[in-house]
Amino acid sequence: MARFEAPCTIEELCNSLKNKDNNTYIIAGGTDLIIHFNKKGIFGYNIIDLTKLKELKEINETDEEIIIGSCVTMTEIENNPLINAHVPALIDAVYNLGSQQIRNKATIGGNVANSSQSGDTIPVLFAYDANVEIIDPLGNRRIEKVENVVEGLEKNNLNFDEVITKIIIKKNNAKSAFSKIGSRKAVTISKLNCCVKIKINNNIIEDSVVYLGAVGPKPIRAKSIEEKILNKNINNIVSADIHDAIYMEIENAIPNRTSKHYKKSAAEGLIDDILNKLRR
Amino acid sequence: MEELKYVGKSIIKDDTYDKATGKTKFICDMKRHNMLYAKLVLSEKPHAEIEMDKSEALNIEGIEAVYTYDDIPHVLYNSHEWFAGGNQYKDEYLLCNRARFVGDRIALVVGKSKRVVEEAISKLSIGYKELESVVGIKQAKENKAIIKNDSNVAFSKSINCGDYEEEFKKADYIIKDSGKTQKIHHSAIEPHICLSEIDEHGSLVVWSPCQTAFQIQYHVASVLNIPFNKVRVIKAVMGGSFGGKGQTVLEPICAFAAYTLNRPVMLYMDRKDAILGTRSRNATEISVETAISKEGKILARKIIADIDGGAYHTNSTAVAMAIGKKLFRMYDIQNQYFQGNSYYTNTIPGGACRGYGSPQAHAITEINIDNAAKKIRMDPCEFRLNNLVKEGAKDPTGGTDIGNTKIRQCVINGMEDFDWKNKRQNIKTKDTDRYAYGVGMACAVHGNGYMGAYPDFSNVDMSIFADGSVLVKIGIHDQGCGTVTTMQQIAAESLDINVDKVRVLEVDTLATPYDSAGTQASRVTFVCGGAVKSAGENLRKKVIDSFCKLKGYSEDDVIASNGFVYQKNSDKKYSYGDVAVELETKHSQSMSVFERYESPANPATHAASFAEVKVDKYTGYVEVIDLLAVHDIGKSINPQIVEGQIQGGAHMSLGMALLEEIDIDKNGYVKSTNFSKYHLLNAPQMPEVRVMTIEENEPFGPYGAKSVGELAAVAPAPAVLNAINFALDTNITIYPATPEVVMNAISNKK
Repeated sequence: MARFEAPCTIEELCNSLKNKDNNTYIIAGGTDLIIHFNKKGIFGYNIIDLTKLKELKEINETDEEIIIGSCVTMTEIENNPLINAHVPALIDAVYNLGSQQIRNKATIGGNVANSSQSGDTIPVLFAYDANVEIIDPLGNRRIEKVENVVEGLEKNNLNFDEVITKIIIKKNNAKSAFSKIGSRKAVTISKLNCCVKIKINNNIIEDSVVYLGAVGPKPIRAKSIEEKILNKNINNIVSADIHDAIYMEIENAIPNRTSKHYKKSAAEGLIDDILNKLRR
Repeated sequence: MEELKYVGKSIIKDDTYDKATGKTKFICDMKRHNMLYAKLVLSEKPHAEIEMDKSEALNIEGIEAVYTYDDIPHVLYNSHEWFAGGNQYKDEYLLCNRARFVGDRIALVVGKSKRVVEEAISKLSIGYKELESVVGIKQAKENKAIIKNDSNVAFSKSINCGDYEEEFKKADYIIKDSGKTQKIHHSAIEPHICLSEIDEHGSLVVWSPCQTAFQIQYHVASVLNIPFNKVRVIKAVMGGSFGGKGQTVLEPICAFAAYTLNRPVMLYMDRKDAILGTRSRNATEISVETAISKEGKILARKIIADIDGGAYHTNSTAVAMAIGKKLFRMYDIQNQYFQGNSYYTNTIPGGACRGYGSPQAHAITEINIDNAAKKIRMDPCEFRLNNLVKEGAKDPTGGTDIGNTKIRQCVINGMEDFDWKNKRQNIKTKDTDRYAYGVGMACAVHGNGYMGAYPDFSNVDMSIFADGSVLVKIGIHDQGCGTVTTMQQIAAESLDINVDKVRVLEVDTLATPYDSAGTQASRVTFVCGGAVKSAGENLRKKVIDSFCKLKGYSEDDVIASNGFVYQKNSDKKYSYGDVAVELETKHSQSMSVFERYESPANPATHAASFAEVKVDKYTGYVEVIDLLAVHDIGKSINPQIVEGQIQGGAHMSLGMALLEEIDIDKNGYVKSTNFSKYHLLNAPQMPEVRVMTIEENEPFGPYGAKSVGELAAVAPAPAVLNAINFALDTNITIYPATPEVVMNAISNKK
């Protein structure tokens, strides 16, 4: 008989995790998991539903950090002033993620745990060097870098009885933006996405972090693009200046894929979009 | 003409309220006592002999049957053939033991719930002995692997007028283009489904959201060897078809299960099944050579269309002919040669898809027309106006007359409304480093039924009851586009009675009289509408005649209006129902007529589309900023429905232009099996479609009406590609023009 558990407290969650077997799945928004069940023809599974845990649905701040519960939905992030103020690229990422119906259900913790190569919040979390808090059946909590949790191609490095409870992003005074290229303008899966995080002083870029997504199992740091924009005036950079760096990064990331030709030129458009956003 | 009371009015469709409030019952909402669910098992290999061990699946509790090739009657049929005299090549079994495409029907699993059915399917042990496969037109032509009979050619025929070779010698220029169009999934929101049961009269009943109920009756009866008169097909409420539910794919095997198990069976599909296991618009590769004079007159044209017919014959013959015939009915070209070749491949079989060959026929030829105009530096609209057919033109191949076409007016009015000349000259001033702008246009032609090619008639049984209500029995299938309302309006107009008094049935083969060809070929408003009009006029005449006979008036003194009949100078008005009662009482007759109506003509219907695009030269995204669709429709029976048809058609055509494609890899495996991989144009990308109609009366159509629903899905696509090519100075002839295709064209130009 299939079992469905929806723990309301951390204690109940730990109890559920203690009994977790290979046929038990953890569900948050379910926007990937249900499709997975249908696609793989999985029947008679057990479910642990995280969405009744209040603690996992909150967005909080401390002096140094923004703390996002793992079951916070994309729509909740999109409408949150705290995130808008501190992590603008995350707003960009969730704003265009799937459809409105998907955004109402999908969660940030799910996006990390699902570890799709096209996941839209992942390059942003990488760029911010974000951490996750993970809980195990004994109630032990540990902190891990998102970059170490995401393996890509729908694999993560969590133990099978662990659950992500929080996403932790350090506050800083950086500007950031995210953009993506799919097959169409909206409700589309990224063929290529990118997050740029910079610090600006008198219009001069003093610090730059660039991650390209969907060009490998997980987002890659594009150092040559970072170097090209460093110490430049944000208002004077045009994407053509960094054309060669963009092409090189894509070439290095996916040398053997035929899609690289398209992704190279599209990446130029993507960076152009992002630079425009960073000037806002 | 007298002022019309009901025709030409935007009366709200009869099903609007129920659909908007969720009251409408689709087949998936139907329940029957003891009903079973069934799902097809579709081949996962493009070409393979099948062995199946079904023991484990049969052991699952609640599974009633697992049928394979061994269990079914071994009678071949052609799922496209809509009447017994169709003489189409028959090559399909209900279930096969040699799968010919990824999606072919190899088994049917029947059980008490969807859940157990799905589980049983996962437990089937299927052995595929793979065979060499043929994917795409190029491979089919090579004939290295032959998958059917002695050649992969399914059908080949040429159509010819004049002497094109002679004219080519005289030409100032010959403009050559070749290109290709993609396989398209219809994307009806309701996946294919049907329900079969045995009713109280002992009929084997099939409920289906179909386009051709009599075709299903024919196939079920002949494949299962049951008398036609014991098979009853009822057209269910339909959640869209666009041609996709035109062929008999699910119904015979569902009927077989219900008949064999003697229990109601609902056979359902999900999106993946609907994409893989039904039908698709035929992919084509088309080359065209057009000979012109330097003054801009088309002297001759040669067109070769190679067509991917898919794994079964289905419509391979019909679609090749449909593509060819249309090419003689838009431009005045006295010397033209067309050759159409359909090929068997190990891919999804072809079927009707909104436009039946027209989208493919125009996709490449309309780009070629622009290139011809460009060659002599002539405006493409002016070039077309030099060559478009005129009112009353004859088909040079001996086809039916073109009729009262207003295609030239479509172009002229469209140019003015779109501000064509100005935009064409000045749009490039909007260009930036990243974005290029362009405008383009295209024309299109479609037909009005089968007259001239196949039997085209309908029968109507129309009655007036004692309360004055009217029942119209005619074998129509409303696909969601308002056919029932259209017929109500025509009946009301011809009878001169309030539209609310008129009920029009959809087809139930036990209740509605025979119709020769179903709801396809853009024939329903023109042919069935003509039939209803004729029946209504005769019934109204019967009301008047009966009234005169009963009361002793002469016809000249009698008026029949708004459902009442009366003597001019009398205050006493009789409802049509009163007359019906008196007719029955005094003369033993019912107030009804039975009308057999044969289509009197098959004129052309034309349209022109104008598009403005913004092309992102970095990403290859194309945004359609403005789209104007101008249609010569003779007369709108219901302007709001017409506008909706044109806008919906434009949506499909823009999808063909930019995004939609059933993506089949070189080995025959389908990659786009859901809507995250099969891309439809969605709301944020959809421009407002501006609609203009020209209503100048087609003499053979009911109240002057011609077809619109299919034609609406034709011209926008080439108009958009012409606009892209104008923006970028490229010559893209590949559909869909995805970002990758656009970027390729840009980089090839450099």
